[in-house]
Amino acid sequence: MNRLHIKGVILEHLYHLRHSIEDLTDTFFWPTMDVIIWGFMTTYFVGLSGTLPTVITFLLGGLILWNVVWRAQQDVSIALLRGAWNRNIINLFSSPLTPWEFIIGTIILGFIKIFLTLGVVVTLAWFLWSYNIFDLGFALIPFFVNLILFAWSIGIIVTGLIVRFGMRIQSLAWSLILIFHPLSCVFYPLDTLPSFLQKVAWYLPTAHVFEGMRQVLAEGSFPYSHLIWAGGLNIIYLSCASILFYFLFEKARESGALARLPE
Amino acid sequence: MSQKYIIEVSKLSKKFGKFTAVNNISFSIREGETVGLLGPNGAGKTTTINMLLGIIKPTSGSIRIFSKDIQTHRGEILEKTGFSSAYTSMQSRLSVRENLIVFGHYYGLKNPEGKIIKLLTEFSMDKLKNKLYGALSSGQKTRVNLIRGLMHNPKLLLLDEPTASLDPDIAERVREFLFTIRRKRIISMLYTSHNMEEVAQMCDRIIFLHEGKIVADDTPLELTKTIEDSLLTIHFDAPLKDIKKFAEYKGLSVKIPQPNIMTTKVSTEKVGEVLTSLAAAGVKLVDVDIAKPNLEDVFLKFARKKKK
Repeated sequence: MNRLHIKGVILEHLYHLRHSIEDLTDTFFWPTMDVIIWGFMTTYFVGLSGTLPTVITFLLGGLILWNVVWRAQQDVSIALLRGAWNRNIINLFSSPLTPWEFIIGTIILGFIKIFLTLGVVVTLAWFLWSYNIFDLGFALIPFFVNLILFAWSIGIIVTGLIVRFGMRIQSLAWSLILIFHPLSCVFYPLDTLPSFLQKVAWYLPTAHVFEGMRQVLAEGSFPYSHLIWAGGLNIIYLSCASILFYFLFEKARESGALARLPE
Repeated sequence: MSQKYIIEVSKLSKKFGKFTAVNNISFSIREGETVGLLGPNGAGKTTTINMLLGIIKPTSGSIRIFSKDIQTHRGEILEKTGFSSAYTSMQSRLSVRENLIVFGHYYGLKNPEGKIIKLLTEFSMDKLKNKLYGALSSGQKTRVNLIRGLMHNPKLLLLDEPTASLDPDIAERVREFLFTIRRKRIISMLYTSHNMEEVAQMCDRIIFLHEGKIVADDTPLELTKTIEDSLLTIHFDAPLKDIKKFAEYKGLSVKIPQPNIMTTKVSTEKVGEVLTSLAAAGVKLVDVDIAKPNLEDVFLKFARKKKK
């Protein structure tokens, strides 16, 4: 791993953020709109049921944390797509930059952008709805880490699939993560799901994180079992995603798909 | 020229399913040598360059660059290799300077800014350093691509049509720059271009690829010697029927592009005989042009083999 190569990847996309209205919109505008709309909805529900603090915390907390998953996954996948859109892939991989350095660079970049997004979203939620995500306390840190790890796994898999199968599947960069949204039980308890889907959901680290978050808020106890499950599953998924990415990248070199990537 | 080999390709093949893009080719490039890789579209030039860069994995055969295998020492080799192609691009939303800083990092340069400014000045691009790459003309983009390939002082340059889409003045300056680099330091180059004059001017040796195979590997001079016929263009002052009769009598294949101009291909040693015979037949010769075979004729000879 070469530090300069990784710095190059981060610089490339930070420069892009500075010049691209789309990128600025993705990073700041949509999350801001989410907080405003969900904030109003939450206020409306509260008016109906009268259970203000818990509902706000569940919904806005879920929304903010899901944004973390969504952003982290997209930043990993879209970095490669941007290279393909600009016919820059051959230039990238004809330099000494390795695919792993590229992935690590996009992961660090994702961290930076998540903090930028969260900075805006958390401040807005506090300012508009007096909601402080840090009320969750130290429990927030392991939850946050587990969400990002899962997002990276998906991002790495999507990147590998695009390298191997080309731009015709580029929409996976935006859509694949959404398959996990309903099963992650971001806004409702896991027992809301039909029993067969509950069994599936328990294999998602995100479901453990959001269940754990609700346990912290409802009972005040720290959900160690959820945390261990989420961490264990993430180790398995991240390892599998890395192996799959390596396999797909090598297949793309074999089939010539890497050289043809804008197609 | 050094006897040390920079590129050693042995029995290299690449198949995409049933299609063989590169078929068992072997060649080498010595230190300081500039080699042209020519061939019609689909001959396997780009696939070969992509295999040399490690972007495409060969089906069989080996590639050794700087005496190391590209499959196992890719990073080490690419640190000393520059690549520029008119068919790749860079981030359109980044400025010229930002794009080059990014690639400076990829090539391991800690402070690439100074080198970037120097190269931009040499290529008359310094005033455009803050312009977005996407807003440049194609000629300007080609120059930025070339700067990217040169900024880390590579010992090997792989150039895929480096002067494509440049106007003649800028193309000449790029060639001059490449000549200067060759004079100043020992650098090996593999060069593809459709500009035959440029290839003849730039390259010590030329490899012709045809349907994935090497069909010729020699100096530009030796390759042109493989074409025996010269193109004879004669501006005459005589009735057209006399010319046709003469051509028929001599067994010449003649084209009449204009009523008083004929062109024909004859072997170089028979040019004098044809002209003397024409004069003896009473044809008044107003002007004569003898075009000796050039690299373009060699290219056409190999490219047309396929069609036949």
